[in-house]
Amino acid sequence: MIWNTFKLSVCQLMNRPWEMALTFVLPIIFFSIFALIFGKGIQSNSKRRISFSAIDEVGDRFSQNLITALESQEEFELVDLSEYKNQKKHAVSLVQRGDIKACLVLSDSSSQDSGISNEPQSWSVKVLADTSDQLSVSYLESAIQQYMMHRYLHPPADSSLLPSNHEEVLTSSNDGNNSPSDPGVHQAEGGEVLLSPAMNKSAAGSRNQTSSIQNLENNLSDNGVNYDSNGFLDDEIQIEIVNVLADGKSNPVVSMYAAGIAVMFLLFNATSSSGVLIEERENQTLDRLLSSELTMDHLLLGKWFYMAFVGTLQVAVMFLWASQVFSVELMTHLDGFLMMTISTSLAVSGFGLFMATLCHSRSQLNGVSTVLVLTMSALGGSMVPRYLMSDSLQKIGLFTFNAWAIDGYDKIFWRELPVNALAPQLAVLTLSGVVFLSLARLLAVRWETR
Amino acid sequence: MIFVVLNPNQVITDVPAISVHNLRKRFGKNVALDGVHFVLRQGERLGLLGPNGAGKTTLVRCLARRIRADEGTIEVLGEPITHRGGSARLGIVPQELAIYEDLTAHQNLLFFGRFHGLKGRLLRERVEWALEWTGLADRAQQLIRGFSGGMKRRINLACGVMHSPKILLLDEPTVGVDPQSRERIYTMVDSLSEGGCSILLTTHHLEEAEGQCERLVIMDRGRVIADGTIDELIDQSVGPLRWVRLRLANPSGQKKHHQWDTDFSDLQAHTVSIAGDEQVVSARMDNVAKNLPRLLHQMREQGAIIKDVEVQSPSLHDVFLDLTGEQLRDV
Repeated sequence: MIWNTFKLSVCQLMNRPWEMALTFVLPIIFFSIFALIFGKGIQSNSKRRISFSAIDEVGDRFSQNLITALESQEEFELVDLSEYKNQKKHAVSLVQRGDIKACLVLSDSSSQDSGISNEPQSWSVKVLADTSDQLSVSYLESAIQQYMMHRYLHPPADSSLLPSNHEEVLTSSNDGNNSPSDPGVHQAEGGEVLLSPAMNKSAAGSRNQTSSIQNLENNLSDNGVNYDSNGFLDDEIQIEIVNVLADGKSNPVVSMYAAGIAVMFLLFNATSSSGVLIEERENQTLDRLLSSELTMDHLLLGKWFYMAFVGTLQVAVMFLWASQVFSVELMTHLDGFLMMTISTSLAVSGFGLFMATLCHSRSQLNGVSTVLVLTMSALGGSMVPRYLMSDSLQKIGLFTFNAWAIDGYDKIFWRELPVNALAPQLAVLTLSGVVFLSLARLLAVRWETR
Repeated sequence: MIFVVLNPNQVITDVPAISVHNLRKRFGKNVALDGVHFVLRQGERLGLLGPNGAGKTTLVRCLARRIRADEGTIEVLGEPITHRGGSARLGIVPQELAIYEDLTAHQNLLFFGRFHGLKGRLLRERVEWALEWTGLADRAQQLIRGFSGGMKRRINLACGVMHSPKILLLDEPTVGVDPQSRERIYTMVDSLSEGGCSILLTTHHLEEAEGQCERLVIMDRGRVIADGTIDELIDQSVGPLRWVRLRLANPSGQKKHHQWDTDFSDLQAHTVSIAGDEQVVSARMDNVAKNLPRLLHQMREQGAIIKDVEVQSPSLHDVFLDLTGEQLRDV
């Protein structure tokens, strides 16, 4: 009997190709996506580039070389600000908009009160950054530190290539959140290349090479550079991470997670709700409905609006909960939130109806939509932040609702941009909703009079 | 002269409720309808019969404007059907339970009424009427999901007539229900007929069709192969033949079939079976009034002890099998 039950189940599985596909193909798809994200996305040989700008207020050879060295690295892309009068203001604007990850401000501490160091004849590195992408910021910070270290360990013959306070060494004071001494610095042992592969990996926190660190510490000690008990270097050039976006926000990062989860569930709900259309066709309710004064246009539009309404309500309830429990600032961003939520709901509802009219049965819809929704969610940033992905994967992610919606919510809650900055997201989402609805209408022609 | 008034409160005379002429429909290589002709008269109850794959569903879907025929015409109350508008005259009750099980009985009736353009007081009145008509007024606020098969069937029927259609397409309305529910459903259908509604009933229940319909149309292979009242169909198919069954005493208990010597050349399907102390002779006989006494006389002369005589008129079942054959139609 047990054997018969087993065989019965096998036969049932064989007769349900979509379930079989889900069982065997879905894990492969997801493994491949995550392998692409984590296997290539953050490795040293990835195509992921960190865009930054630099404002050199010091103007000596050392500061210029630092910028040139960073620019020469494949991982970094320097955005030129020379044409702007108020470079700092423009740079902050670019960071706020998400066009660049950070702006380095190399300033002479002796000529201005930075509030960081009162040492005369010193200069500081201020990183005006968007810390939502913590990886990029720490990567950039580590690269600067590595450059500093390299110069200390291998000083050029011409002392003008060192900063005026070259006997001071590095510290990090990025809001007190990050480790002040990045292990990547310790791994940057000699070498001609500014950011060695080992350094890149250390920046991502992926490896800990104790022996290399020990060698580096010995090397530093030989050169008169010493650590204190906390791992700080005795004398420091100061790198200050200034978060230009999170200041004054109560819990901005939670809103990003909420957006990611919300879009994924919107997609699941939309495809599930639209399955009612298939049921109506299968049990002849559709025949009865279309024999009344109801037309297919009425039916699809009614369902579209309903699904968008429920989706909007669903996300609103979720964000309301987030605002009450996790202090997400919903009320101050209500206009942008509503715009993004409604357009996202319209888009995914259109997609759900398209899937329902494309599929021939409810089980087929369930199978296909599960694969698509999970794939879109993985690529679009609902599961893993897109900034962790390589450039190519980030571009592929733009073919998903999740990416556009999350970018929109990011602009509202994290970057606090005005609602007109949401124009691309609103346009893409609303338009895709209309396009998918139109495709659903075309496919539904076969359900009308044949 | 034909007199047509399209006000639903007034009578439309002479014009057929539905008139189908030379209807043809092909799905790829499969010919579903091959020149169908028939007429449903006003106020009539017409049974549409046929084996599986005969084309009944395609025909009903054409009438319901869900399939566009390749050729031919359909007129509803004298007007050719269009695929937009005109839905108010037709009510459709599909074989499947085309209702929302996650709505209450009241909500189902309300929404299907609205889809048929009812609103306001008229809608409320029709919902109240439908609940009374179905006998489900006391369960109006309960979800359909919890209803029995018969109750669901009644709501399914009611949803199709919320707009008081002049013509009702009724597809297998009693599938899977108990005899009591079936009786109730046909009482409901009777009340519609009394109200002047023309009904086209598609069914595989031949006894139901025979008992409920005034006229029958039998389809096979996409064509109408017979059309008329049950008597007309009998005349068209099996004719005056009747089943005659004689029960004879078998006192000797002999197991071997006795060959009776008769001079009836037209005695068809003559069979003899032995059941205990009885022999049963079954045969189909033409002109029973004249020939049965002669048969009985001849058998008595040969020593037969006749215990009982049964003469059976042909049923729709006989007509149906005679017309469509006994071969299975697995489509």
